[in-house]
Amino acid sequence: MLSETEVLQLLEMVKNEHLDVRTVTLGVSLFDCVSHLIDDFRNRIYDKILNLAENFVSTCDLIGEKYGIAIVNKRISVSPIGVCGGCFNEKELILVAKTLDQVAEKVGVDFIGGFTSLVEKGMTPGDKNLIKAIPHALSETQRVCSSVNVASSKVGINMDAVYMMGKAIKRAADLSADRDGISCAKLCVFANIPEDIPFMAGAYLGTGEPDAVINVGVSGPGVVKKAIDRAIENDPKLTLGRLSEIIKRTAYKVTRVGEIIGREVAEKLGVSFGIVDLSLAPTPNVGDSVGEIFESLGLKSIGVPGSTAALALINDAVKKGGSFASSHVGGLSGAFIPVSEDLNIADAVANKFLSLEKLEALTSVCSVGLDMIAIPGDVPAETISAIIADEMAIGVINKKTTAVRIIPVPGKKAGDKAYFGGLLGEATICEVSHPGCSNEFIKRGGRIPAPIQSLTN
Amino acid sequence: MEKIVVAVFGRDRPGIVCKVASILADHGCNIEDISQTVLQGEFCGMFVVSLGKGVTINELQDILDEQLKEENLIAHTKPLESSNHQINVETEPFVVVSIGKDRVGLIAAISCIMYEFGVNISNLKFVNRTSAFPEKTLTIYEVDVPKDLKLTDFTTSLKKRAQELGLEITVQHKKIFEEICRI
Repeated sequence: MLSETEVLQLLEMVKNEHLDVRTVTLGVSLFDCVSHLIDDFRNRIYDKILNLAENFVSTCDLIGEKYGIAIVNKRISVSPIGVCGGCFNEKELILVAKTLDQVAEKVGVDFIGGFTSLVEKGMTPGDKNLIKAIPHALSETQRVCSSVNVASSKVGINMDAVYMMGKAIKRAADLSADRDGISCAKLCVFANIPEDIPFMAGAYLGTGEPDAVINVGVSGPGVVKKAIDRAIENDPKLTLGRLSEIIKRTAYKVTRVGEIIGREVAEKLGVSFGIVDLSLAPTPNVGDSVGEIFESLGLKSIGVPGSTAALALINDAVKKGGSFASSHVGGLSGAFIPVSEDLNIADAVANKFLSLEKLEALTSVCSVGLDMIAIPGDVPAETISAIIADEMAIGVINKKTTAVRIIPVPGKKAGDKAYFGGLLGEATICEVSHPGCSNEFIKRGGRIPAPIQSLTN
Repeated sequence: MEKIVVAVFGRDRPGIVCKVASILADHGCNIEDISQTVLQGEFCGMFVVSLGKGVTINELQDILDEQLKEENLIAHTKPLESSNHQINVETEPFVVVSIGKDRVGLIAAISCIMYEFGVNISNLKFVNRTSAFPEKTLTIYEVDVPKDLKLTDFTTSLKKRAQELGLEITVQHKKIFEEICRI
């Protein structure tokens, strides 16, 4: 017999604390679709994804209903197009993106990721074509997401690719100027990209992955915040050590939900179960925010002194609790701090508690990086590349994933608001200090060598 | 060996189980299963026992009546029947929770829909005015839902009826509660 407390606990989490499964992502390998003929390649991709994902969304909905837990997003990740479409030119690669968009629409997923290249050590002609194709591919499709890995702890930072990505971001923003540069929200630049991320825009299916696999991204910042609030109400003198324990226990529960649901979706679809990404992923809703957790811990806002320590505590506790709840943990696994997607963090930027510099500091202890940050549209490509290079350096040296998803909003300046809509939210545009002062450094190109920490063999 | 069911009711106090179990033991009856509950101070216990040699069910009923009378307890016995309910039906455990203002007919309405769908209630708990819902009642039905039943149909019917009654209702597989709340 279940106890009243057990039943009420879960009901409360679902009803008032936004407990849900943020995304179930079906990874589909496209290696067996490869062809040097563009039409063949596109047809094979379409058929394979349709075949595997035809019942994907309805299966997720049924399982969500069974457990009374919403699966908010159903998504698909594919093998990096930069690898399996390496023989195509820029125009042909845009057509590939359109095929991905069509099949995503057909099977009813909201995003499909994998318009991706892995260029940390160097670029093939195919990779160069793909990066050049990104701005058009993203602005001429609705659901395609793109990621480019430009650095790793093993090989260093490919500064030529970093420069190209700065330019690609600018171009993508210009091509979607009428929607505040929304194409850039579908583009991530990575260091140490994991092969099994279920979250967008970084999701792609790595080269070491199976033919089809289910990866799950959990959520639950609201649940963590409420657990902290309740504990402090019961004992106002709780120390940070005890609060970390409470976050850990809560992360266990949240991750467990993802594990159960992911395994069942995989079983029903007859594909293997990959990982649970035990991240705290916010949405632009009150009570579903990572930023609010900082306030519960006793800071006036995310961004004030103490924020980096608080985030380190949260991120670590989430990992500890989550790793006990799941047999296979992967992806990004930690706390996200996406500015526009988190109402509280967006407010912290608007109220000047949080600057680009402090965000960069926070990324040294969070699980992702500079995420969904709107910047003035006139910031030059070289400065964007320099911001990317800084963020990549944090990831490379600390042997962690870092990413940049930054939106130079055309025609708008610092303090203005950018509107992206839906889960992508809205944000006040951050000031970028000293634009145009990094040009010479960025234009030098080449590769920043692998750090001494890479010599582990 | 003949198995019987013994049910005992009375005002709760120390010594009820001791008394009943002692009578059963004195007559060679072995207790195989017990469940007891107390609601608003009233005790109800159910014992499944195998009858001792030399005592029949009717004789045991008389002995219980006589010896429990002075304790103000009531006993009832009946032979244990083999269950014929849903013998060949595979089921899955679900938890239905309804929350709402108390009124006549709440449990009847919800449980009759369960009956319509061939859903068996395996555990039921009704809590009036919990700390979480001081003005409301909370009912937790643990039910066995036939595997071939379309869950959406069942859920939709329940939700429709619940809405008419001003209840909030949720239907969730039991596994999710067990996995999250217990390590």
